[in-house]
Amino acid sequence: MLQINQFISSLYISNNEIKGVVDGTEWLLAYTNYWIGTNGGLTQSNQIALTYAFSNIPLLFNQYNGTSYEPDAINNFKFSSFQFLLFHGEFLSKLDPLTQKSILDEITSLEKIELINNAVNFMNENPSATFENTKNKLIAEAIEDEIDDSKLDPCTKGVLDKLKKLNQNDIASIFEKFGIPENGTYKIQMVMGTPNNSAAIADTKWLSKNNYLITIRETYIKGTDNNQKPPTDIAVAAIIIHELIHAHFFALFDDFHNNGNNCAYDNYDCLYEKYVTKTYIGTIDAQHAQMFDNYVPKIAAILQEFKPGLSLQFYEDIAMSTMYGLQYFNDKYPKNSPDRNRIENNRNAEDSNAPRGAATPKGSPCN
Amino acid sequence: MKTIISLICSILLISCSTSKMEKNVVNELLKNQLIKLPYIKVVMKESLQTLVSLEYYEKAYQDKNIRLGDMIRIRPESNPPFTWPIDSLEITKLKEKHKKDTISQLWRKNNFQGLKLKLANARAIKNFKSHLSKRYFGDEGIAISKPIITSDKEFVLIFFKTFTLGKYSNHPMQKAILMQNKEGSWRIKEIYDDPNIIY
Ligand SMILES: [Zn+2]
Repeated sequence: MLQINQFISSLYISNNEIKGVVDGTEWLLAYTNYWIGTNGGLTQSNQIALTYAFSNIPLLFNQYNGTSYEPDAINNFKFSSFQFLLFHGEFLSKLDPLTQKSILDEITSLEKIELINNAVNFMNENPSATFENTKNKLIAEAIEDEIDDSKLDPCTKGVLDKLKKLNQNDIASIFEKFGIPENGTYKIQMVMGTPNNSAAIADTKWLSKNNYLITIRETYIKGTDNNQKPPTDIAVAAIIIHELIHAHFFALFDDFHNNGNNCAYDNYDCLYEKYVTKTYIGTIDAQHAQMFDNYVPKIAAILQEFKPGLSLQFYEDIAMSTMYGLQYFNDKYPKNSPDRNRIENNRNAEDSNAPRGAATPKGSPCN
Repeated sequence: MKTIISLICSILLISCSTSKMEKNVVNELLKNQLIKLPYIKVVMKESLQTLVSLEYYEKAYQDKNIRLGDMIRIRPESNPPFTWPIDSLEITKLKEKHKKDTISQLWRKNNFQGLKLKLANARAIKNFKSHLSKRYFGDEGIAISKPIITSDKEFVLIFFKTFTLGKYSNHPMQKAILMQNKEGSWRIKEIYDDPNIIY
């Protein structure tokens, strides 16, 4: 017993930050003693785990998402992250420092602790698995159930499934938002059907709080109106990504206004001005302005991973083509300018899986 | 007899001046809106249902005190505080006045004086294989409702939709516009649309 007390107090006095955290968390020492007692005493492994846990609590305890948590939830978060550190400390301490950092950086909410806990368990059992791949695999599995695609045609479903498995960070983080926790905050459904506006190719609807519907036009997917030819997978992917970003923005809206997350709009200036300071002025709506500001190169990068081996210009063109018809687009690419013609031809070729001007379709037909 | 004739005249005069006003409104809307949408090349001959603009306004008006985050059916596009120049009494009055106004009038070339626009049938627009759709492929078009003018003639509501010729549109618009008469010309005062649908 003396030995345990000595060991803990050596951890306690080793660093002022640790001392501060321990002093400010009333259950911490009691739980540490309990944990040692129920886990075989102060073994070599447990010493490593304890050292790892104590060294990292100052970082983790302050890492929960924003200020939205009530005191109870904050306490829960701290308790779960401490358990996580104790349980995996020994394993984590043997990983390279960069991987350790990327794992610990993910511990930002109760839901994330659950996901990362599963990822580390998987890595423990599969020594060749990397953290990124494991995380993405688990996210993809979680999303499988979260985006309801039961009313989607096989073609669009295939494109969606492929997008879910990409490693590109921006699409992964959007899927992650909808995929976690299982049976989580948002209900999102994607269907092939008839959008609200008779001229629209697709739309995204906010049905109610945390409940969204993406509709992609059936006659477009089936090709009845594209010279009887269905579009290529690249065109369908571009449309899905664009609409998913809209759904993601609706989710940020709900996070801020309904889910108590005051930081939901951090890094989203246009949405912040539209809905919080209510000062947004623009020639297009705030969602699309936001998409122009931060997402066009990201859409291009997602498309590149979706269908590698084509020119960067092509990916940028297809990404930009999803913004067609918006004022910003017209300002940037005046009618009859070479850039506009190229963007239009590239997209039209994918939409109808047929050559357009100088462009030939690069994707594979969907149906 | 004399009184009857003068009565007929004044009725004719009123309806004449109203329809001139309607034309002015549409002209100003297109000029204002075309500056924003320089690629509009086609106008749909058939007008959209007249009452839709008022229904949009009414929904926005009824939902004006709903907290952001709850279901707001139609919302002004500008930033608050919003103004509501048409009240519920006037809404009822205008509804009554236009309730039989369901026949879609056909716009004529001289309704869009000074604007380079092609007038086209809805059928040709909806058919992606029509001559029109092929000729104007990728250009934008607009469909407009008849305006609803308030009793004091100071405000007008109008509804429009945009579309792309020859293919589906990535970003069609459908909005109601409130315009105000300022020294004889119509200026856009507010735009209303459905905040729950995005394209
Ligand atoms: Zn959009």
